[in-house]
Amino acid sequence: MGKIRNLSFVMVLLWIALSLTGCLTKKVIKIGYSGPLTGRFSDIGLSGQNGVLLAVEETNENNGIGGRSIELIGKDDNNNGEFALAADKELVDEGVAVIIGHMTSAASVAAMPFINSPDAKGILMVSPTTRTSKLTGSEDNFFTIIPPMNAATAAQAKYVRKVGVRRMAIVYDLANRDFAEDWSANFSAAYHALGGEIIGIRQFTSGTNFSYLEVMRELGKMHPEGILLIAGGIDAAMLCQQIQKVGMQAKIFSSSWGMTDDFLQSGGAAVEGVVFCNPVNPENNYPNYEKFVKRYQERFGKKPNFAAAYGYEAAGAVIAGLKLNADPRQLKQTILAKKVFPGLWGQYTFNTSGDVQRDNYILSVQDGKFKLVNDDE
Amino acid sequence: MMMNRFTKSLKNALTLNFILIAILPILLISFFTLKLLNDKISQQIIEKNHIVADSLAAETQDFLIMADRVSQQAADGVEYIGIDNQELVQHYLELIIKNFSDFNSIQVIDEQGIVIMMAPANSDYIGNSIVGSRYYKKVGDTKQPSWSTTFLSPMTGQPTITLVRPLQQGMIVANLNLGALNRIVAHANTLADGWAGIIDTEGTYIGHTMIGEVNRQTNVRQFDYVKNALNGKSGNYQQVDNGANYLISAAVVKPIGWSVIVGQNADSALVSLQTARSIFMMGAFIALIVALIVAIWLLGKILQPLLTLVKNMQAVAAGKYQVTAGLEDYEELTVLSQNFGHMAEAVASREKALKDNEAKLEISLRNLEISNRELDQFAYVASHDLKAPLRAIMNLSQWLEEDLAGCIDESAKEKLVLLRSRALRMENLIIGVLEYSRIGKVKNKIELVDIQQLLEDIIDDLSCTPPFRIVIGPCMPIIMANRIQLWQIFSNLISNAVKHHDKQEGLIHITAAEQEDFYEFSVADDGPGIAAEQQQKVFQMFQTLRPRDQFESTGIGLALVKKSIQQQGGSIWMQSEQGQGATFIFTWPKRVN
Repeated sequence: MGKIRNLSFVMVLLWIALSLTGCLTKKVIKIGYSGPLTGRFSDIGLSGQNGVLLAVEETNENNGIGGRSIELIGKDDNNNGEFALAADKELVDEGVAVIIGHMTSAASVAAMPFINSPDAKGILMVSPTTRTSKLTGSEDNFFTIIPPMNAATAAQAKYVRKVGVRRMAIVYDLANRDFAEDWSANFSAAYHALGGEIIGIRQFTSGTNFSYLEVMRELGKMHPEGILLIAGGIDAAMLCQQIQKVGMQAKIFSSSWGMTDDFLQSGGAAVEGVVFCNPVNPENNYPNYEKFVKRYQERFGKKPNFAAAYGYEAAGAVIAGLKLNADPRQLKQTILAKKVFPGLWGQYTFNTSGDVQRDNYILSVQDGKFKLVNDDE
Repeated sequence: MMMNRFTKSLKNALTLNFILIAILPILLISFFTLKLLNDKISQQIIEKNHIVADSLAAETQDFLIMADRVSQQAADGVEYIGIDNQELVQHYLELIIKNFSDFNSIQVIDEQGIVIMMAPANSDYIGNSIVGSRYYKKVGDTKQPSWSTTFLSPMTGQPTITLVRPLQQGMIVANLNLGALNRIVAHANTLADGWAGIIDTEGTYIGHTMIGEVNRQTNVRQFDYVKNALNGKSGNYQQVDNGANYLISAAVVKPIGWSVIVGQNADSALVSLQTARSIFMMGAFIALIVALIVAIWLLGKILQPLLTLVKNMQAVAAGKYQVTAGLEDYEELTVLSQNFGHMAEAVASREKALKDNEAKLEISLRNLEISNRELDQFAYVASHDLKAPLRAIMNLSQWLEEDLAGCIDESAKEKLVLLRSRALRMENLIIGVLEYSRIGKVKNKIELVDIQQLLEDIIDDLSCTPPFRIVIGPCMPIIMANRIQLWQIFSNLISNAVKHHDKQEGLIHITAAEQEDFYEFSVADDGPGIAAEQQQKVFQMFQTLRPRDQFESTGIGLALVKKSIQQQGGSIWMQSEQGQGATFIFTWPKRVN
């Protein structure tokens, strides 16, 4: 009889323990990611997502956020305004604490009215790679990790003038219209201010039926001294190939968008000497960046690009903020109060608009690699 | 407590055991059967999936071998026609593309790394430099055919792999569209909630039954089964992902190092098992109900005679000895019933004898009480009445001595003094007897008594000045008691120790110790002690250890002490050896009578 009594007692205790365990199980914190996971911009979208995923997995392996694990919910915005809006609404409905994204200016600009509306429930959006000046400088619910393009375009225009280029032509991809038009306009304004002249602008839409060769033949007739390419890595490389083929002697400059491994792979000899303006110095040994590259390669089997790195930094800032205060509605104020975050390339600082301040470097392709140009020459 | 009450009832305990006996085998059989079924079905699914994975790996391998042969044919053709005959080479390459549509494009590269021909023709690519590409450097160095890693083609948006073969002058580059892999995995006839996918060497899906996984370039390198497969190890796994359990089979595509993964949601796969589990649960429930009904019926059958027996025993206990057990259903119960009758008769006869004895005892007690009362009355009256003539004898002898002063000699005076002393002894004896008879008859006042203070007062009263030293031990209690009684007890014990001491100097030590229900007091002296054969006498009435002529004593003191202590529920005893002093120990209950 005593054994029966003991068994019953143990079973009751077990039931209570199991019930308590269930009650005490902490809910996961959901983080949303929205970027182009399919299509021509999927290299940026997938890399950005991988960067975020790596940060999330590292955090979960280290007791999560106050013991709560993070669940990453990814959505495909297809670099399309309607898709972007739908993705963000779905993420808010699913109860995410923050949205990391979008990765292109076109998607970010389309999502902005929703993010700043009451329907978004005060959720913060942190974009790893959006640079358009349309979204910087305003105190809203949109933060960026990559620094605003104004400083980069100004530095690039200054360098172009410094190397004696007076007549520039611009080619840009309308597939990322907001970014491309913004870079073009900002560069043009700065270049004009320094006495330069934009003699022609040619647009194309990647992924459609057009000829890179024809684009460059048209521009070649204008005899520019320099050409600014505002396109993704493969497209920019293809354009460089055509410049060489049509025999243009113009110096080639590119927006940071094109600074990818694909650019070097697809460009071959034709991309030697192309000049970029970018907030990362590839020649510096940044310990955090080297660790990140190593872990990224172990996890995904390939090298990270800039989108992966900024995605990782964006997730790092968001997670650090949530660790200080897990209330999603306080995340914006928490990040602004902390202000300084440890980045992959050294510390970076948010200003009151939620934009990040970083130095810009002039780089060029030398022997198939991105190398720092001595700007003082 | 409730469980205790429940299991202490024979009826409840039997019910519980009946149910356990009925249910336990069903539950155990259900559990082990379900487990065996689960293992067997899981094994069958895994084996089926593994066959599917191997088959898909073989198909993928065939596809790559075919592409390799076509590229070889293209390279041989270009070499045969000659790289300078561009028109014919272009035509030849376009014919190959037309016949093997999985190639997006085939390019001929010259020794400087420039695209010189391409099918289908595309002027954007003719003249382009490919020296930046990894495969150009690799094939240029090794002069061996090479496969690139997979990439998303900017032209088709599909996963693509580049196949490069060296020519005598330059190389041939064929971009193979891997969209065909989706067609291959579609051949997998997986069960519900199953899928098949092909993973490249980076762990990214390049073919999948759910095309979205390819479009999103989902990377699953984090799973151990993927890591193992990428390391060339095929196998079967159980993987938990997002709370769901999956049965996974992995096969390796040689020699390129891709993997084929065939997965199955275990919950969906084991849906038939779920049905079996429901049937078993229903069966167990029905068995429980049946067991309960049978248990209640059987218990009724078994317990009814017992309950009757209990009821009849209660009647017997209440004095109804004529009641029989009333058990006749079974042989054993009939014997029990007969024995019950004998027992009831025996109890009835013993009770009658007991009652007779009780009546006799009551009469004896009443007589005893009358005798005691008469004896006490006699002792009281006798002692009281005897005191008056004694007092007269003492007074008259005193007066006689005074009247005859000068006429009687010293001898006569001594006799008169002796006469008075004997009369005084007689009076003391009478007082002692009177006190003894009063013990227990007088209602004593109960009050708080500080034993330390009481002892100090007694010592002061006895005038026991040095050379006798009386030491009171520590921790003397304060107790509820009759002060006079305790005074008499301690006073008698202390004065006895002083009176019977054989030396001019002596030590008397009084201690107290608290026990669970009583206090234990002791009075020890270092006097002559009492021989063992005399120790029995000391508590008896009128017993003195020395002749009264040698030592004046009534022999009543310790008898009084003993009666007082016993009357309160305590006890007294002594410890002594001849010449070693004596210790009187008595207990005094904490609870006052």
